[in-house]
Amino acid sequence: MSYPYYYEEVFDGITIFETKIVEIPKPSYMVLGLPDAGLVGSISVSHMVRTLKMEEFGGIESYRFFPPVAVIHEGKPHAPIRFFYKDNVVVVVPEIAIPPQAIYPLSLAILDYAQKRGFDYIISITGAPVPNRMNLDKPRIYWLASNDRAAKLVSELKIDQFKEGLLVGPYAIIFKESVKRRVSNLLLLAETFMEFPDPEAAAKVLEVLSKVIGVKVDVAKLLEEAELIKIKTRELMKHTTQSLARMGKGYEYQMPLLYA
Amino acid sequence: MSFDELSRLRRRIRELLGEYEPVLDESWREVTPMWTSDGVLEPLFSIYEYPDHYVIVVDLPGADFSTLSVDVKGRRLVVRCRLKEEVVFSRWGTIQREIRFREYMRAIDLPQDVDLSKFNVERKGTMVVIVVGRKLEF
Repeated sequence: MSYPYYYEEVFDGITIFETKIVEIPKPSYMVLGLPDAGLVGSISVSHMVRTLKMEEFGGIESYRFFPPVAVIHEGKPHAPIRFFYKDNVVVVVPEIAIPPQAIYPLSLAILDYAQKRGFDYIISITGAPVPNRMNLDKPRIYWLASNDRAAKLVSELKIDQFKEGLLVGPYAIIFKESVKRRVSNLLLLAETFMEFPDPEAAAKVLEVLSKVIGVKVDVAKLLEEAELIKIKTRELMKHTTQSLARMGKGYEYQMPLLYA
Repeated sequence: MSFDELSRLRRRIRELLGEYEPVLDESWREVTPMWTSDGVLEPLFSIYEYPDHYVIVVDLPGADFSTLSVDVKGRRLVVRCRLKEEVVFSRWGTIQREIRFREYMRAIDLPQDVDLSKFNVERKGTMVVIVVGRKLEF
């Protein structure tokens, strides 16, 4: 990270900044990997950064909503949530669990920024916690789209739509607001554990994402290093589980009253 | 009644009710690491409650399951397992030096109504699934 910032804007207590001038070609994708069930999104985007050799260009900070954290890398401070890019793909990589009080302002700030920056698609990678994940060899992937344009991204792929259920967390807010604001938001949900890191689910979702964005993301190394990744992400998973419990993530197990 | 007397009374009531006195409250537990500097990792685990049994799932990625031990002392379940190979982290976190992790260890206090006559341990992938009976009348 280098100073000064080339862009900085505060959205209701959430600061989004860029540290270099970056042109993102069209069609542009913003891929979100906020920590959630099984850390599916977070593991996916951090693997993308490593394999695609993506370059950092900004991030998200909040002195009001985030814990007072400085992420130190090579002796320099980085934001708790970092932006990386390569060609037309930007990924949002977290270093911390999202505190429940940050969910609304952070979700809306990401959406405001994405609209201002003119991203064509926001792709949310998340986990759909299932109690029997342990017995599933191959977790399924589901999709949910805020509009027809986003749905078209997966129209050729043989994956099922997430049709009934409750979503809890930042992706729920981003999805609802995207519908309202006519932003193209595609959610890719992988069956996963609620409280254990799941690199295998991340690999499955990355296989789908590769087809969606037209960028090959090799998952061989992710699967090879799955056990080490699970060891390294235990603490982020623990903090995320605590945060998920406080934000009512357990509601996702609940059957909707009208359609049950 | 002094504060000390009140603390002793509180502890005695907890003992009589069979509750254990937590050494660490939850807020402090959130800032304690899941590892020790002498090479022990604390695994993630979950306890699921059913009407007639409990299921405890412990995730042990990278473990050598031939060294797994699951012991119960009183109501304390102790899970230990060595890693297949040492995991080395260098110049990392609050300890800016190399740490070599060799094993997992976790003690889990079981609920009061466990029935240890029903006890089963099974491995599923990187996870150990421990099923413990639950007394129907307590």
